[in-house]
Amino acid sequence: MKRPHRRIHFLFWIVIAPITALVGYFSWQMRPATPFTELPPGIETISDASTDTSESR
Amino acid sequence: MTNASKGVIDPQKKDPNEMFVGWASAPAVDRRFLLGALPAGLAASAGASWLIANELDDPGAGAWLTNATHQVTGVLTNHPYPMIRLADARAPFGMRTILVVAQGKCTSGLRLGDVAGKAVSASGVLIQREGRQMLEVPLFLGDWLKLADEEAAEPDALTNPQTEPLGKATLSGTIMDSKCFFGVMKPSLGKTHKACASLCIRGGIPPSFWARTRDGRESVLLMTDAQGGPMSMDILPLVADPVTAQGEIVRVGDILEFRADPNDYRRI
Amino acid sequence: MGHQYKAIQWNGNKIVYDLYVLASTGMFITIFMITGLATQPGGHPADPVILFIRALGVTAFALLTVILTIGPLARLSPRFLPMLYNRRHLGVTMFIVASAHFGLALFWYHAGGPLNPLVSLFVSNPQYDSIPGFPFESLGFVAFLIIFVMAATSHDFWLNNLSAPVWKALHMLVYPAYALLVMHIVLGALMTEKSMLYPIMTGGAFLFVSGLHLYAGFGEWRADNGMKSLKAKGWIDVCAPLDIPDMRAVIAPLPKGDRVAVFRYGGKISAVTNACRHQNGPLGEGRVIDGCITCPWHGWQYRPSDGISPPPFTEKIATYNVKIESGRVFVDPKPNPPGTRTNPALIDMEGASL
Repeated sequence: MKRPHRRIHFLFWIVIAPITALVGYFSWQMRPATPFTELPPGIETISDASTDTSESR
Repeated sequence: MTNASKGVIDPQKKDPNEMFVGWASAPAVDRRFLLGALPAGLAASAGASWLIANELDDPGAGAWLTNATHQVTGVLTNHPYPMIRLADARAPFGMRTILVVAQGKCTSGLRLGDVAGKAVSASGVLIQREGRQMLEVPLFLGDWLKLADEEAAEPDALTNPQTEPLGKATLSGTIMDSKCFFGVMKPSLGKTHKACASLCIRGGIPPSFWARTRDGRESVLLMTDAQGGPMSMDILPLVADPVTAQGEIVRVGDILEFRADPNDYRRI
Repeated sequence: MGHQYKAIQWNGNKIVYDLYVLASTGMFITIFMITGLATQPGGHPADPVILFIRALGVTAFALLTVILTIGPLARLSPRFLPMLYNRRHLGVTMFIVASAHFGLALFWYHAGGPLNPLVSLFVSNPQYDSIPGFPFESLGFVAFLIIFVMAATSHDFWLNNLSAPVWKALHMLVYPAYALLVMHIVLGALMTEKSMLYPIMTGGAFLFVSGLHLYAGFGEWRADNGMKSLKAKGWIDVCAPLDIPDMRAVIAPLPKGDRVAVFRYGGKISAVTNACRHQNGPLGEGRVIDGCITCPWHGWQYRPSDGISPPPFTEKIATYNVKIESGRVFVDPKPNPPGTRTNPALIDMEGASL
């Protein structure tokens, strides 16, 4: 029982808080955005197929 | 030296007369505080829960129709991936291609080589998203797959569907596993789904390339190698990340293939 | 105050506490599920399993955030002591929710594939050399291991058998676990979800928790700095007898880094260590109830003169010798062995101007 343990809590947070805040913020800044692309003409018409599934044959 | 305890935070100083002790009944001052704080805590957590759940991204229109068994009759092919092509006069190019996958994330054990090129009738669970369809069947051959009457299935046009090269293109987008994307998992794009998508593709589920244009059009292209064969597992680390690749877009029947060398894919 | 190991020593406050924790946790998850399934744009809800995985993850993180604010809040106001009293049940609840999150995510994303799910968890995303691409799953897994060890050793049986300092040190791993969970969220959900609400709430939760700890800890640090001036040998001048409120204590730092709680109860003054035998709770912030020093954390009790818990309990804490000379209270910085009877210093009520 020979220690002022609350000081250790404080030291923990002095270390953890800035590291986590900085690493967290900068990695969030680096999050990727899904890129846009140029589709050749004629492609969208194909992907626009029938959604009717009632007919299975 | 008079007060060595100067720096110690002493919460009791503000209220020297009462103290909450767990095994005794709470003092009036604590009861009053809790009567306000506990309902406020409930209200705050209800509000936070609503707010968080309400802001989730739209995971798309995929559907996994597990309530019904769906029967499909058409010509089965095993190349580059298991699929059944069936005649459908109302669909573009008069046919519909339905990918065939096994239950779970392992589909490479699905041995359909013996019936490839033949007219079959298959039943399973339908997975679909905006016109793209997939049939989920048991891993092992059984009653779900039967040879069908060839006349009804119009095998000629379906066995060798019309193939049209649409030219070279550099596409930027995301590699995903078709099964989850078609409706098994929502959401099925992005980093939280990366491990699952990678595992599914490792298990033989066809990889697809999801791309969208600046004006909001989306396209989903079945990924093959440069020769139109099944995609190599070399692309596994790139799954779900933003990538770009140069390849060739080819229409095979009613579906689009993106044919590119696995080594040409680059993370961006 | 007991040394008998029952699974849980129930009392009315604990039952109310647990009912409230269960009700609020259940309500949080229920509202999350209903909202997620009912109100998605375009009528496309996430699938219920993924929604549930997310509900559980958010709930566990929210619970841990609340848990970590209780300690510093209780140091700032005694109104938060009721939340601290049964905090370990809150911790166990958080562990159960986190286990469900982990188990369901492992099953849904990693089972049924060509790899062992636990292998897949670590290899399906191999980008360990990237920051934004880093496999967030592994961070969550390490945090889960820490929380598991904490939950497994949460009972007082372990507290006694590991000894309070070891147990407290073990349980202090919850801080790195919380940091890991923040990164688990940042490198996971926040890399995909587009709403600004999520980074704001995650960052806000972390800044609130760390800010509270730093604020409360700063006070402790200042107090500890006071100790450095106490190199002198011999008895320590603490204060005037009536500077100590009746039935309460003044906490004084000692040269070797310990703290002493000097209690006044009527005309008597006794000194004991400031650290409770149970969880090192701050005895000097407690008070004398029914003639016993009572810890503000969990209500453990000790007689002021000998530091022994009243029968049938047998816990002992160190006592310090006290004397009053020329109107000042002096404490001998050398602790007596736990349970040593001391003579309370008697205040000359005539001489003291009341």
